[in-house]
Amino acid sequence: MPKPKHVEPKLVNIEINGIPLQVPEGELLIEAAKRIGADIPIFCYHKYMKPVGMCRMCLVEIGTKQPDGSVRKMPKPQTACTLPCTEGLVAWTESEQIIKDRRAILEFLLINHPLDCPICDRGGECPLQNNTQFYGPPVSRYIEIKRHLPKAFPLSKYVALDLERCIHCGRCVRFTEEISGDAQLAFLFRGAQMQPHTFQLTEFTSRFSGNVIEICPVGALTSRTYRFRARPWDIVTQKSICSMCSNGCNLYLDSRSGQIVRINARENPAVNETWTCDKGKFEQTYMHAPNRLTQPMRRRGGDWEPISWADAYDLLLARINEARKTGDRQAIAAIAGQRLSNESLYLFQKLFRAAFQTNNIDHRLTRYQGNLQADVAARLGYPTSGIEYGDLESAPLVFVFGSDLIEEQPMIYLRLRKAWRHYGVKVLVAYPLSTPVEEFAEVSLRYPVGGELDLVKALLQRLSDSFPASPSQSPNPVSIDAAASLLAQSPGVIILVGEKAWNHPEAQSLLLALVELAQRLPDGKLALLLPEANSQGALDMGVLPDLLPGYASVDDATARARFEAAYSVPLPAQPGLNTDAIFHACLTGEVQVLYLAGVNPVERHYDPALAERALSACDFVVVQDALMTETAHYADLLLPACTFAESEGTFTNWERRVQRFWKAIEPPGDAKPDWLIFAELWLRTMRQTPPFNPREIMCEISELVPSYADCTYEMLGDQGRRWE
Amino acid sequence: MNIIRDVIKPISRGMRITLRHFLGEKQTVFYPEERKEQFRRTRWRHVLLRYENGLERCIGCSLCAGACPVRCIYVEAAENTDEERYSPGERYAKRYEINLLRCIYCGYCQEACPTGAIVLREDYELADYTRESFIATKEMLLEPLPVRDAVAESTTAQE
Repeated sequence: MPKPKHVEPKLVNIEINGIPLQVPEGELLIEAAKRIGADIPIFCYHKYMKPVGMCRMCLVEIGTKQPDGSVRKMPKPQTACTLPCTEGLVAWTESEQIIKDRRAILEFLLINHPLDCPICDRGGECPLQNNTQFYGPPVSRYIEIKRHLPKAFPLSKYVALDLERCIHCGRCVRFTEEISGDAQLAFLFRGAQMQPHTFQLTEFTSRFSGNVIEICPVGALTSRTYRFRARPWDIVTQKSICSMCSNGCNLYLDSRSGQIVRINARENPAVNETWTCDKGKFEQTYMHAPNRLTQPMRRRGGDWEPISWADAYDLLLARINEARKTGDRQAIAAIAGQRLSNESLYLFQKLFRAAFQTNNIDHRLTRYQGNLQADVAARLGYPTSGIEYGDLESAPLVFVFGSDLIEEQPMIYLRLRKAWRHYGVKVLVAYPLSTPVEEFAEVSLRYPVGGELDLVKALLQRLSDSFPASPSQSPNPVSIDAAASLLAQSPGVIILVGEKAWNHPEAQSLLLALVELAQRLPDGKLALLLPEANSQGALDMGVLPDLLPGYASVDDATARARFEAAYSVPLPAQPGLNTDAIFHACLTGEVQVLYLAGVNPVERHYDPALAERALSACDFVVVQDALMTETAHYADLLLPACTFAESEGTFTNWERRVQRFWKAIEPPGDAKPDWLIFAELWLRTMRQTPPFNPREIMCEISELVPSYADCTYEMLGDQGRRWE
Repeated sequence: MNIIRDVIKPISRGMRITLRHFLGEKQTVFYPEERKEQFRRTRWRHVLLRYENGLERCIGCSLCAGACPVRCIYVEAAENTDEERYSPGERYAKRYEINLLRCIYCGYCQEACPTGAIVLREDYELADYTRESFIATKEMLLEPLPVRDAVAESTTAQE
């Protein structure tokens, strides 16, 4: 059964350490104990995995209250992690017996533990160390020789396994079975010889392998990229948000001497629970890439000449004014990146709309560059995903369309897998190739590459004529019938639309067909999975040629009047050019100044050749980026920008959750945060006070954009806020 | 005023003390040529010790840096390989630096060290001209290789 949206829990009366309290029935005793702050040591228990009671660390004494008020005690201690609370449960977590038991368990665990804490990467933040300090014996009575096993065995590119340190809690094995689903780790051998390992000692290739490092309660699984780079007390930890995709995983960035040495997951039950994918955890190293830009540069012949920020602004504004004097509205255009923060994107559109009087701004590099307001919102009532992670668990059926979920949206994949495993949510998948989602999908539709539109049309046809056997070009009519009947039978289907739809040659008709499909289905919902960290924010902030922030149309005079009053300048009413139109205008010479902020069309545009030709044809190309990208080679002026780790701001993830990230390290050289560059340009052109920090910009956004009204930094907190 | 009682007597008593010290054992030494012996537990400049076989005792665990109340120790660790072995086990200190200006010579690092690698010894001549020269690097702190071994090695090599 899919998870019900909201259930009133039945409360039961229990007593822990003499303190009476009411908890929902069935809640594990270990969670109930947290409510009164009673500390129960654990190793194998993990909040997001099934309890197994393997390590015996969480033993408590329990009893039941008899009707006459007396307590009947159980003769032996029980594990708190496997014990659901029932009416009249009485537990003692600090009794003399329990203290003795804990000491004995720890003494056993430490018999074979090498105690090489000084060189162990877990030392200082190790649950085994902590529990031994608090509950363990002061000395060991074991004087025999300890077991010796291979040290630092490379399980994969990222994970090293030290078998000597393992205490057999099974967290890693359970993670790969329950959460990531690849079941790559297993216990080999039995008894004292037991060891967690991959089958046949093959490589550990899970896309979520980094999580086992974090959940290992000892130093048995350690990171190879972080190996010996820092100790916990050397590290400065800062809260952040992942910039690798639109899932918006909450992270901690650990830096040492201005270098990010490690990335860990930050718990957010509504988003990533406590997981990360390997891409976010290990591959997010671009802030320390050797090709970072550290100072503004202008092109002099074939060379780069370093200049000051003041000169760079002068040069840029001179070229822009020159282009504007020609009187042609199309002379200036700008494309912003989807990894810029909301604050930067907002100032970006403000600068170009108000100061440079152009609507030629966009952020999209996919084939779909239409008007979401007209295509989706007008029919469904919301421009992009109206659903959140939790909705996946309560839906009867999730239709994954055109997305290799594990690659594109790893956290949605994990949540969908959880929904299927825990709540029996049915899954339907359509993708040209085999994907891991197929393993648990009810029906999988494999269509020929590019056959998305045919597939949706076939589905629509089956749904409309209540399944007559109609001839179709699609490969497998049987599974289409099965899929159509599944869709028709489950009210409240969620359709997740992935990258294949955005980049379909007929993207607009495909999207319209999908909207129709969602409308045709009883209570069908459409969720558009956006490609990058702040793609949703770029839409919300109106980095679009035809929409102002908050999806107000540029030709809507009342909406424009609100922004005009705030900016105290008239705004252009004509919709501008989208990305493709900008590139074509570059080729014809209409666009004279092209400003690229944190965007790399030469690599990321669906037609890189078009981008390349446009950039070489354009008169004056400004590239503002953190890295010397392929695109930067076409620039006439380079402005060094900060990455997300070096500046403050917010990202809006695919489910419209606005989440804050904080500054973790100092920017290299003269690099400036994107919002600051736009603010300084604003100051130079408009002679108005610019906002001084991202917090102020967010205040301005929350005043002007109704959906962001609740998104000031005070309201966002560190868990973010989803706008409706 | 009695000249004998109030002037001569106190002066001569004072001078007697001066004379006694003048003739007695000398406390001063001819400093650069001679040095005073230090107490055995004097805590002056740090030394990184080696094992008898020449391997460094320091394993780069950074516990000294963690214990240091003024955060004057910087340790960067790296992994030993069979070709390049600095210390026993997996880990060694690639960089080990102490800011001697910041150090308060409390000896907590010595206490925290699990291998007894860092000790504070008698070298008290710490004055210098530039701030940079007060950053003691690993090369400056490390005990020289045992001479006996070097001689033995060279003789075995000659044979």
